[in-house]
Amino acid sequence: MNNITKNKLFLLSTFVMLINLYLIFIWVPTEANQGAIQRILYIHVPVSQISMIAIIVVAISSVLFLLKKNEFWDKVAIASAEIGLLYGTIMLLSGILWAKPVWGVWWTGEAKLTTALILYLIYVSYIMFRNYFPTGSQGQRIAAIIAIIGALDTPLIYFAANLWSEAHPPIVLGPASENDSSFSSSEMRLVWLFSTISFMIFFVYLLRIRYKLQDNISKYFKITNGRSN
Amino acid sequence: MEGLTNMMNKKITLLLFGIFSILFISLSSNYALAQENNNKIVSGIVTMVLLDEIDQLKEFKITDLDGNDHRFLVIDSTEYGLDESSGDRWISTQKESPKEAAIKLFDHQQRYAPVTVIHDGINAKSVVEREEGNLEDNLSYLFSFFFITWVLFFGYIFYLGRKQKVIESFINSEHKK
Repeated sequence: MNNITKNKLFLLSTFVMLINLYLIFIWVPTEANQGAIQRILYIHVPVSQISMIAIIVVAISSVLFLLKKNEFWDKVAIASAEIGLLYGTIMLLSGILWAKPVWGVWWTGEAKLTTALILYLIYVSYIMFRNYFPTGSQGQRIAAIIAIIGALDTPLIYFAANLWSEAHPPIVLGPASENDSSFSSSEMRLVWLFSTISFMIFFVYLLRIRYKLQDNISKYFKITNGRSN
Repeated sequence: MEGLTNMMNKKITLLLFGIFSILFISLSSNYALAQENNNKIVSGIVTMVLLDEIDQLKEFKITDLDGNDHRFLVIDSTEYGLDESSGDRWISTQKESPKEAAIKLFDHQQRYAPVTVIHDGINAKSVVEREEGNLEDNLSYLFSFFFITWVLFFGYIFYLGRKQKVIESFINSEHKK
């Protein structure tokens, strides 16, 4: 990754994010039932989706690393896990801050929320295993298994609201969507789509700078290990 | 490398400034729009209901949490969204059900059930249950969420930038040895 690409991606990310904020706050109409608070959806849903995609990236990269022993996949896995944790944190915080004014409580123990919390804890445990155990140890294999469990949790999160109908609205996006109640206008759908793209570009940007950092860390360890040997 | 980090920091500061400016402008413009339409929001307990000679709702008064009284006239376009004691929602307009509106407001007065009124200073435009019109609190939740989100994102970028700088200086010093 060269600096020019990094800067271009950063500028692109900044540009689309500013447009995204304009669309969320000014352009899109206010939802009739919930009022202004519904605008959280345009960040809550994209960050949740990307958080689920990130754990799949971690699982695939971990398996590829174990199979091919190529360090590239290992670096991608750790970078994706850390950014997935960041997106997961925002997913939970946005859900909590949305639930309070709409449902009257900060948190409920229903399936959708619990499976999302499990994903968050999976991210935390993956990063803990990666930090506590050195590269090449048994810990790396256990971390890969944790990532696979996390990837298996993602369809559960996606289908949870439809399988166990509780306070969380059913799926309104993607192949299993049942109705369009959360998107009463095409503008709302367009803003959600744009927001998803914006946060995806931002995810790629973060992934690249985190990958570069991981690359430098392993370079440093190689230099110091070579010197001590 | 230090030059690049400084440049990145400047860009991040500019980005932060841009985002918070947009946030400020957008929130201000929402308020400005509400002011332009002369729409104001007030919540409180119904303390008086006035009827005309044929028992149709004519005027009502609410008292807010600070003890201030607000008196409103109703017009044909005034909308209602009020819960009955059974929990069912009654939705109508003054034109459609002027007598029923009076009964519902009397009921709310007796139950001390709070309502939210959107008005232009004289006429009530809508009268709804308190929780449905809690727009001010919603905005504070929305603002808190956006603030926390961007603090987390930029905090993470700063953390990565600092860590990158430290590791690069370690590598450079190792190369010099």
